[in-house]
Amino acid sequence: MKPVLAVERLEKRYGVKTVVDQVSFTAAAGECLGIIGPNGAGKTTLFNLLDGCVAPNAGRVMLDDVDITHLPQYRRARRGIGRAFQIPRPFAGLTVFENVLAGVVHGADRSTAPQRRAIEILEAVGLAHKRDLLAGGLPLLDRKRLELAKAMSVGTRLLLLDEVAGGLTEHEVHQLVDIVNALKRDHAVIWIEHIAHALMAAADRIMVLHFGAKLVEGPPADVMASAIVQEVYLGISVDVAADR
Amino acid sequence: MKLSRGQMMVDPRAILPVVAIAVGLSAGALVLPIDRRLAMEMLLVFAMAQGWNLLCGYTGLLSFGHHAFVGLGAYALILTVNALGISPYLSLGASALVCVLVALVMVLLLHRMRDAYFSIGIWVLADSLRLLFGQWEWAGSSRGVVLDASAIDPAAFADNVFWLALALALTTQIGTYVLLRSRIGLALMAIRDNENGAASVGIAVARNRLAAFVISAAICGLAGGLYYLSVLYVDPSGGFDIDWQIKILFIVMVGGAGTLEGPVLGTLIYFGLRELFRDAGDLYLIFQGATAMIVMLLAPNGIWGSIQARTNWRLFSIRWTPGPQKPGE
Repeated sequence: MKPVLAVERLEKRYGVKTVVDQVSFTAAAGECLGIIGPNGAGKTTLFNLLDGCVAPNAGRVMLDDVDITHLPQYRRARRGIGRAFQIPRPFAGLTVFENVLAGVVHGADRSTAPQRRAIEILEAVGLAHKRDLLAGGLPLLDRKRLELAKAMSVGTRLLLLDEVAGGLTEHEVHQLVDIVNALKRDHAVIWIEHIAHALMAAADRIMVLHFGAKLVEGPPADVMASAIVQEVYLGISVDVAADR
Repeated sequence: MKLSRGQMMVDPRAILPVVAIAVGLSAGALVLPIDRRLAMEMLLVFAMAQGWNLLCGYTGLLSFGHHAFVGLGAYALILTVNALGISPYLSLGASALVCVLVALVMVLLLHRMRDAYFSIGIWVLADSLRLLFGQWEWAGSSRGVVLDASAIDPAAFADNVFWLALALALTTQIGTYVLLRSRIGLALMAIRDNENGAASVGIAVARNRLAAFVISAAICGLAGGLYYLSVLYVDPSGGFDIDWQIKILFIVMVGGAGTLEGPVLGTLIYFGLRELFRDAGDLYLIFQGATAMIVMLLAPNGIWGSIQARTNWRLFSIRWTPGPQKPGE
């Protein structure tokens, strides 16, 4: 299948420190690529390079065969990249509905009825009944849902999910996995997550980053079982680390 | 792109601008024979405050230098009338144009500054303009310039200026309302609330912020031009007086920043206090300061902001709603 996203030898340095080191991979519609790695492995920086927050020092980012390496963040969003940030970034003075509508009316897919689309998204993440509340007053879990909804509001091609399961209860994690599994039918999804069993349930491939470089990439079970991954996590088994 | 607003047959909010025009015009006709000067000043200061509110309350840029545009608007108007001999009403175009151009230059200098850095940066630029005009011989240096009296028709002049002030105030109020209810309004408020988050959902942050800045500059320029047209004279220490900015700040903060009703209320409070303590000299400034402090302590979002938080009243609602809730929700 033709990849939605193709990343070629992407590199980001801060001073002498290479934070993302010659990383290449692809992601196609209909699949979820999981990214794991210890803290400081460069996972979030990789997302910053993909969505355009930060400019790379070398390498290319291709979205649907178009080179977007030098496009600013808002133009990438308009091409269909949606991102859920690790720390939610709600528009506190706007309602939940307006938070999502803002993305729908500024994003890639502006042809359909925007208000209906915003409601659909809110229903998908389970926030439809809170649509008239101010986003600034939402509790943390709802902020996380809203963050996912905002990513969906523009992300018609590619969704970048940065630890969206962190802090959720077991039941909510299952709901989230269902949402991601539904989303990946027509999106390419890239998901950074520490909660290993959630990632195992949704990811079709897993990529491991370590000191900014790609360590391994492959089917989830193989990657999790590989000795090198166990070692990166300093001898702690991934499942034990996740179950804490 | 056209957005539909819910499924209601008639949106009651859609008739609000018409109501505002009707109320404004009838109030204008009533006030006209009594004290035109005060009413005119109120309308102009209100327009400045609402223009500034668009930038501060809805876009999140706290400017301490909008008196620059008041002075520029005044100078642009009087100098074009004197130099070209054209009608002062046409010269209002020059007030707006000069303010737009200077605002664009300011953006080049300030575009990386945020928060307090922006506030102080634009303040410095405004004061630099005051000093510049004070040294500019052709513009009358520190003595200022007098409008060429032959350019005006004294019989209708005062009435005309008053009606222009009313038109500016109404256009500002309705224009901001319409702008904020649009897709651009959503973008501006998203930028105010989270700049990076806004960019990540496809909002062109720099361009939208620039638009808000330029619009607010043009409104203050037009209001400044009209005000100094009515007094037929401007000098650097008056036109570029930071007191303009303080008035605006007081009105918006006391009334409620980020609400369209707040500046209306704030203007009434400001001029109410001023008239009440007109004969009290400096005591008036003490009352003004005390009012500002008390309001900030008791109602940090301004008086209208607090009313809105408690009652959810909105005369000019810019909220998006998806229409009536479906049964069972």
